[in-house]
Amino acid sequence: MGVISSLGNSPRELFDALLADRTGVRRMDGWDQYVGLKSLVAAPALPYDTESIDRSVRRTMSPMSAMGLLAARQAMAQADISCGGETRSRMALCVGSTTGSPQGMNAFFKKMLENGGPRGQLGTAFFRVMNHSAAANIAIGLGFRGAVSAPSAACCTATQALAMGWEMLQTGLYDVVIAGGADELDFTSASVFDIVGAASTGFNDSPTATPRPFDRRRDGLVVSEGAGILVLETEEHALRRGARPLAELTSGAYLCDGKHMAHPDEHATAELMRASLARARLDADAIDYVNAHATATVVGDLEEIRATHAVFGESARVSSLKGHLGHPLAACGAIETIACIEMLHTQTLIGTRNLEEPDPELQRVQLLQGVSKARVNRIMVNNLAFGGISASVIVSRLEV
Amino acid sequence: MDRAHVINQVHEVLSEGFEIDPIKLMAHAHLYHDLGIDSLDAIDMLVLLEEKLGRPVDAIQFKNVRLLSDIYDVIERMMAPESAAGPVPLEPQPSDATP
Repeated sequence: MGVISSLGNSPRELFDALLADRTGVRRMDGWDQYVGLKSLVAAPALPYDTESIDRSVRRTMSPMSAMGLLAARQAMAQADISCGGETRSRMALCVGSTTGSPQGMNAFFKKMLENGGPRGQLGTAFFRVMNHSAAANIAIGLGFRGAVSAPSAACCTATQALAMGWEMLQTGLYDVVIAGGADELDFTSASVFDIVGAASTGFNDSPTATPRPFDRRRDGLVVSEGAGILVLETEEHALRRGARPLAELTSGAYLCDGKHMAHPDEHATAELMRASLARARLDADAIDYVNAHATATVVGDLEEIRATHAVFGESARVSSLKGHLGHPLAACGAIETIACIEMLHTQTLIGTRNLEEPDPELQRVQLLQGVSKARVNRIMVNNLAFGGISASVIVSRLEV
Repeated sequence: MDRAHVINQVHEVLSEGFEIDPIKLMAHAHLYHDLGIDSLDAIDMLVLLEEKLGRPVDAIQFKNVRLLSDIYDVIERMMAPESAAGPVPLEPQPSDATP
């Protein structure tokens, strides 16, 4: 597993920060210059080392690709697996982002408008803004010669990549899939959510108090950035090479509600969760904890909890990590899955940060606060996205 | 612009834009083999040279450059008084990049 995030640049750092109830959210210097932007808070990634990336690779990278490569290197090192050299016909790399680099797009079009045409554009600029920039840059950075795909489903991109990786392994065509997501912070990302009324705007002067998933005073999400990469591998292949697996990826599923671009639907979300359980051949009571998408929007949290209640009932233990992390967009599902695997290892559940007064409408399930010890064998991770798309994975302790 | 100034400008572009150690910037250095400037870098190098020189550069004139000294020569010719009458139209830079 590998991670770059607002809370830590390794799985251990990330989990230690979650245990310590830290937040990566702060008020952003200079964001008050953007006309009409009301959300002035975000959770930037902790500083990371791009100097370790050779210039010939780094030249086409925006931050999302650099973070993705660094996370991939961590994951490959931990898995003790290499992918360079010859063509790897039984390995795949499946890493997505919401769009190409927003920072790159801003720079590209700013220059285009200033110069009245393409004069002055760097040849390397396009390779930052193309949709599969993160996947392609990570592959080149790793020297990976195998199947590369770049799923893009906004906030459930990484979860979808993991689910697709699970499917690819199920086919028997692949032994290993390097899967995850990456996204970079930019004011335009915050603007997207600001425009549709989904961004937190009421805590600009008290940034650590937002976002507030499930809380009565929640007022929207806080954008973040980062990358999460996991090395998925068939059990047979792992055993054959003497690998030490960290957990089992038990299921992966993704669905579109076919209804609405921006309004989550409780019934479709419940169908997703049931599909994830069905693929795992598990009943709902086999899940010990549900890691919710819950970005702290009024409607999104409500619809997700209704769906979770419909599938798991009142006893479901639920929390969101967005109160700590902010919302790292395309990366969130992988980062949250990594945190959940740490929860399995430590038999510890992380409650929702900034959840002080649970919204009575949401008290249909057990909303976790603080850190608690618990017997945890299986966790479902859910993420919901614009486009009506949602994705789910289940991770299990290996002893189960 | 005298040759020393040209050399200085070119070296600034290569060291700042491409992170090349200034100690490697010798007149006989081969752009690809010694400095690692490939076809994609060459496109960006001309853009950065335009910015540095404050005038358009004619990419066609760089088509056959191989050594750092070749770049000095082309720019020196470009910046000579008889070439300063007006901007030279930009042409697409030859490249082996394909979609």
